[in-house]
Amino acid sequence: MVVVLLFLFFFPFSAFSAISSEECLGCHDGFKTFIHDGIACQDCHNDAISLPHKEQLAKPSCSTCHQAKAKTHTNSIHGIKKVECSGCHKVHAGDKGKKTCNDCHAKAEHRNLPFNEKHLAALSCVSCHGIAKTSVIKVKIQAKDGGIIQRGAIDLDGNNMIDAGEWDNFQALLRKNMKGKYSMSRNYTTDVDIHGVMKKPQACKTCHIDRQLFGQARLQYTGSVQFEMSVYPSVFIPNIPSIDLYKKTAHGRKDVQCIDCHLTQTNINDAVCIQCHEDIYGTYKHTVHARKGATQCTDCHNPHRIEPYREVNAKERLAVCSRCHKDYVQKHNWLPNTTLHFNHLECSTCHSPESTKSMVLYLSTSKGDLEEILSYENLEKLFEKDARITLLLDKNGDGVIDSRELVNFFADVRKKLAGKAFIGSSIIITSVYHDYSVKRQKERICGTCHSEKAPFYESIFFILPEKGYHMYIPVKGTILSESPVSVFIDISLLGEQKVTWSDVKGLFFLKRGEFPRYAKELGLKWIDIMGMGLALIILFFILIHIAVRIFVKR
Amino acid sequence: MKKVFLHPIPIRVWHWINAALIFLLISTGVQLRFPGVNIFHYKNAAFLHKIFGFVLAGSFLYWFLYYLITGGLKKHYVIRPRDVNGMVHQVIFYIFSIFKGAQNPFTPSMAERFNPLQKLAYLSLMFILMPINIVTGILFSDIAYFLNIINCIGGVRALDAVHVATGYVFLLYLIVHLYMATLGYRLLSHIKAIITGYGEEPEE
Repeated sequence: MVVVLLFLFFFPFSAFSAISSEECLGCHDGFKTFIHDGIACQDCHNDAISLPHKEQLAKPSCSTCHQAKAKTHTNSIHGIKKVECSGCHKVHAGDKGKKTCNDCHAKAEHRNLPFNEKHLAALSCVSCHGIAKTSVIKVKIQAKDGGIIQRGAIDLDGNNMIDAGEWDNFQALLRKNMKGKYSMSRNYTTDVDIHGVMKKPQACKTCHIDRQLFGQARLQYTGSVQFEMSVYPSVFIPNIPSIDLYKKTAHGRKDVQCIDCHLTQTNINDAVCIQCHEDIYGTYKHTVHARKGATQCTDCHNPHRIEPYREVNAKERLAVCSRCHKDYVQKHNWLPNTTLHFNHLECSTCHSPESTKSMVLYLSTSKGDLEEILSYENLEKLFEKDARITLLLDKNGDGVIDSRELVNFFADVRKKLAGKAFIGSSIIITSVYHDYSVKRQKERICGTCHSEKAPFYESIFFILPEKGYHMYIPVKGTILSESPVSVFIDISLLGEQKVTWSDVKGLFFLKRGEFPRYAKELGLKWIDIMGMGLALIILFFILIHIAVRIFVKR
Repeated sequence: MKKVFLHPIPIRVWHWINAALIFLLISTGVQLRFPGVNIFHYKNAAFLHKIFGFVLAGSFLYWFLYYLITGGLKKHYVIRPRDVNGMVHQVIFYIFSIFKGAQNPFTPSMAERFNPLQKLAYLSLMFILMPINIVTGILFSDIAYFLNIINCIGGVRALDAVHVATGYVFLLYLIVHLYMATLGYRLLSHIKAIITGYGEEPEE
């Protein structure tokens, strides 16, 4: 009876609590540092029911608790190659004895990875070999006492997004105004489950073309002012050539093969370019620019991204120059409305006087405060897939686009974009003379461009995107000039139609018989001349009236 | 000197609102016409000119409806045959007799507020120039939307010419108006009248 009572008393104890961890450590005193988030020995070694336990205990399974991680591990290259949990984790060690990648892969030199040192220094192994849930480039700038940079000095166009040009300008500003007064760090951070190491690492294009990884960059500025801004990731991770993109470039379209240029494995030099572009090379080689700055063709032109000159818009052209001339905004601070000018000009508009300048007009839409040129892809979304803009324009199908059709087309685009379409404009080069080296430091005359005599008024084009290329439709001297494109232009054609001093002065220095021709030339400017003239005459008579009133004291 | 009630309050309020609008529209208009001058930021001038323009259209409508409802358009604005003679007298007064101390041949009253010259000026201004200016202005407010109408008129250049020309007439009128405001019984008589409503006139 006593035995039965004792059995009943002890049975539950021995059946459910089995043996305590202290009892285990009594023999296995090597595991005294064991922590594992406070679990007991028995939680894993659950087949040790009583002491002494059987000699060979079953192997505990990690996946009982760590289901998700174990599943990820099973599908990873480590899982496939049967590397067990214990391969990296020493479960009985105090710090769980985590191994790093380096412990096994110390000799991972990545010899085939271009710029391997740069890559290995900036990235963790799993950035490329794992599957990141999130990834971001974090740039931190800590200003020390005395140095202040305001938000507006970085984000010049105020769109809260730093592009390459703005970044370069910012760097120049830091070097100039805050030398030694700031520290900068750049981190490529990823949120990766380390258990999911892939069989194949991420392809180059994941970061360098598609930007599925590190598609975001944040600038954090701390100092006496604090702010955060987004930066285009391409500022830090450059685009690389891809065969798909290459096929769309001028070289690709004209069937220039890889081996046509890559004669050897060394870098491309001018001799390769001269094979086809000897004329241009002849012009360029004698310019100051070629002798002192960009001495090789490839310094400015990326052979994998070559596009016909007409396909490159003002902003993209400016980006080519600003790769070296990073401080171009500061250098032009004498120019009023500097950023506004750079929104409508390219560098060679002024620095290549022998090239032909044109005014180009294009369809734009506004994204916030930002102007975005409508591309073919944008229009395709508005109309239908694979739409031919030429056919959409030529409504009556006579093979000729007249001004009415163009105007109606614009009205249509505007309607589809809920009124958010307008005509943008740039003054750019349309026929190139390959000399960009002319400095015109002393010739800071606004009137060169801001007058009706500006050369680009002689050459105005309306640019329409068509599938794969841009159409340049001349405006002057065509049917468009009769009912001019300015019908729907949102810009002020400075100097045109509005009277200037020289017009008025011209009136007083006319030779005999010149008046009829001059009067006709003035055209609608007569409105201003008559209006202001009459105002002056009236004021003159009022003054006489006042004088007589004072004289007769009335 | 006696005081005569001339301008009811709705008209006085309208007058000053209208005055402010004309002033603002001319100054923003100058900026738009001549980008070289620096009164406003060009973009602001364009925006304000549009807004003030719409307010002016509203204020014009208010003026027109006021007269239509209370009556008086015919009484105050329409020129009658006898007014032609009155115009001659008025011109002679302003050019000669005023200096000899003669009295204005016309005495304003509630029954007939404006002299024949004023009638001519206000009639052309309020019934011809103002509507033309407002309509062209509205067409300018959204060129793409009104494109078909604008093309019927002769394109944006013609529209611009008409709008600017009427604008200049407003400017010319404003100069004359401001000066002639000082030609009342006393220097400030007319100005007092449009503020208080009561005009100052000589005893009969």
